[in-house]
Amino acid sequence: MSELMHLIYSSAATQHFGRDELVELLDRARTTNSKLDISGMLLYIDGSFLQVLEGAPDQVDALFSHIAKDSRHTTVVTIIREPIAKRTFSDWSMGFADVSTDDLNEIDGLNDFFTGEACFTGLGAGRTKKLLNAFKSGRWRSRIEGITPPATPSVAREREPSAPPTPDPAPPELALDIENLAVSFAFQPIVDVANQQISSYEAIVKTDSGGSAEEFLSPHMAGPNSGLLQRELQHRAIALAAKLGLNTGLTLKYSASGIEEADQLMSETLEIGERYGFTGNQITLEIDQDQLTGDTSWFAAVIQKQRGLGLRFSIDHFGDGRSGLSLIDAYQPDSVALNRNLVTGIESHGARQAIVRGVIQTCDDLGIDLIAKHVETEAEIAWFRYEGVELFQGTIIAPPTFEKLSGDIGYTERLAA
Amino acid sequence: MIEMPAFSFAFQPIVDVSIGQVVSQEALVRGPEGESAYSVLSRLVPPDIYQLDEQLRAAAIRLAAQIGGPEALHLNLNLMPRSLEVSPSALASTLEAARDCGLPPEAITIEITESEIIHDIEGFVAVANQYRGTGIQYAIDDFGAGYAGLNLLAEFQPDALKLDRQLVAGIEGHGPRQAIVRGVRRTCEDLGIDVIAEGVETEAEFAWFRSEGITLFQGYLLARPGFEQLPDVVIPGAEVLRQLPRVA
Repeated sequence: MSELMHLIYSSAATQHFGRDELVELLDRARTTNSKLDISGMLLYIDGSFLQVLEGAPDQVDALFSHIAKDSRHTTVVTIIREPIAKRTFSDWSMGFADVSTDDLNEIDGLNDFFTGEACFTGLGAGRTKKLLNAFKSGRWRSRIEGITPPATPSVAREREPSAPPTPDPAPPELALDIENLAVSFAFQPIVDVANQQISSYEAIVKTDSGGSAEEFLSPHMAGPNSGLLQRELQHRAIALAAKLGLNTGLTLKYSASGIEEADQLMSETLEIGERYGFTGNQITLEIDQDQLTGDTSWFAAVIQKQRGLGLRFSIDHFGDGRSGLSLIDAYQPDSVALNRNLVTGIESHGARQAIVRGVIQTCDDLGIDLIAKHVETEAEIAWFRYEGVELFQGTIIAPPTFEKLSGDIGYTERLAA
Repeated sequence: MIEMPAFSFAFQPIVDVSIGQVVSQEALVRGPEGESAYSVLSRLVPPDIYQLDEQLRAAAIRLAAQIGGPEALHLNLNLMPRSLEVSPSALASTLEAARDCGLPPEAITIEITESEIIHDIEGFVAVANQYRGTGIQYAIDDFGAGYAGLNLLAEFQPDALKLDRQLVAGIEGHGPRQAIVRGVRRTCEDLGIDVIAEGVETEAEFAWFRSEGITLFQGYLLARPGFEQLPDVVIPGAEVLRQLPRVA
């Protein structure tokens, strides 16, 4: 059995495609495709393309990378790339459908999938058919008009690989000199791009010289000292934020591993906050589910209670590890911060887009804020803005500043312009 | 070589209510007299349990083909966690059993739980895709129950996913679950993945999913598992679908 796969992508035309242009495009595609033994179909609706390519994996990949570079379309999004048992469009080197332009149907060789229904209903009930339906009903369409993702995604910066949280199996008794802990904080804005406001600053723990504190703190994060450490870090972050005159929200990582003491620790956070002049609902605790050990339902009860007392909650790393859908039901958080892998390069990754659209729908329905964290490129921001996301955090929007509250959201103003 | 416990199967239909048709039968392991799955599986430990897992799928295919005949038969078969890792031939033997009974690979859907996949996602996707070319289909079982789920869909798109019973139970009165299901449905629609409401027990649950456009159902409300038979199906508001066993 020779290997087969299909690749389905969507894109937006950068130029007007009338009857002549489409016929020319199709002619060339058919010549190339029959040489490569690639079959498939091309659908054009009102400025948007959806194309199915079927064939040997090497050939399809090579052809697609060639197609992706064609300047006549942009925002090329790979929706599906997977092995298939058989071709859906075996008879066609490249079928074509155009829903909006009736007269194209009369041109010899152009097949009207939807108006004539014949070919379309003849498709097996596979993923291709479902995706064509999704496209027909308006999904996967990005036209060049009005708000549109940018034409050329900027190159993603090289970044450190995100270190998965490694729960220390049995941490030895590590000495932790809590009094003389040489740490301080950087603050990074979480920006409401739609209203051009800083909605909160996240306190990021650093060494007292501004370096990464992860290495010397992480051994304590999961051990018996984690509660002690949590208490100390929160106290210091709140004190520093108050000293810097913070008047927005303050986001703190909740990193204690045992949840038995959660109620006590959270009550203290509120107390300390009050002592430094913070009001109710100003402090948000970011929950990293992978750092927690113990009974989730008990923790959920604590969260509900503490929310009633004036703390806000955010689920961090959403979509990754144990931070999944069931937590939305269990915790009913105020906000959800997407995990990095659902953000990076989203403008060209169809499966991630579909996932994020689902999360957006769920959050919208429940009044939960969605935060696009770790955004690093304009293309990522544009995609999220297009989907209606308003809260962003990332170096490109505003980098963390050590022991300082940077109010510079000039980039955001440019975005809104 | 230890002695394998005696076993048989019950079958529970998955129904597409929009066309009023049974689209598949899930094979559920039972004791020889209809005892619970637990009574069969609890006495085994790895690696014997993986060996049994393969035998179970082959036996389920044979029994179903014998009861219902191979024509128009589609089966959902469970894959025990870590089976593919321990026994890479697990799917090959299943397909072979199907072929022997006159069933094409397209008639087989393998059900996997999300925890199984999360355990070694790259390994799983590699093996699953290797067999995808045959036409075999995959469904993720108990979706939304565990912690995972979302990231999984970025790496692997199954043909269908079955909403976990926890999400389904009492959904008509539970806003967060409704919102989660609507989100999942949106994601699946965009990826061409079927959504199956599993464990539907009440008319109110059924009505809620219908109003959201879900058409695939499995649960006591429509059909209880039938021991060694393909049970009749009751679609609320429609006629009874008879699944008459063929006379051999």
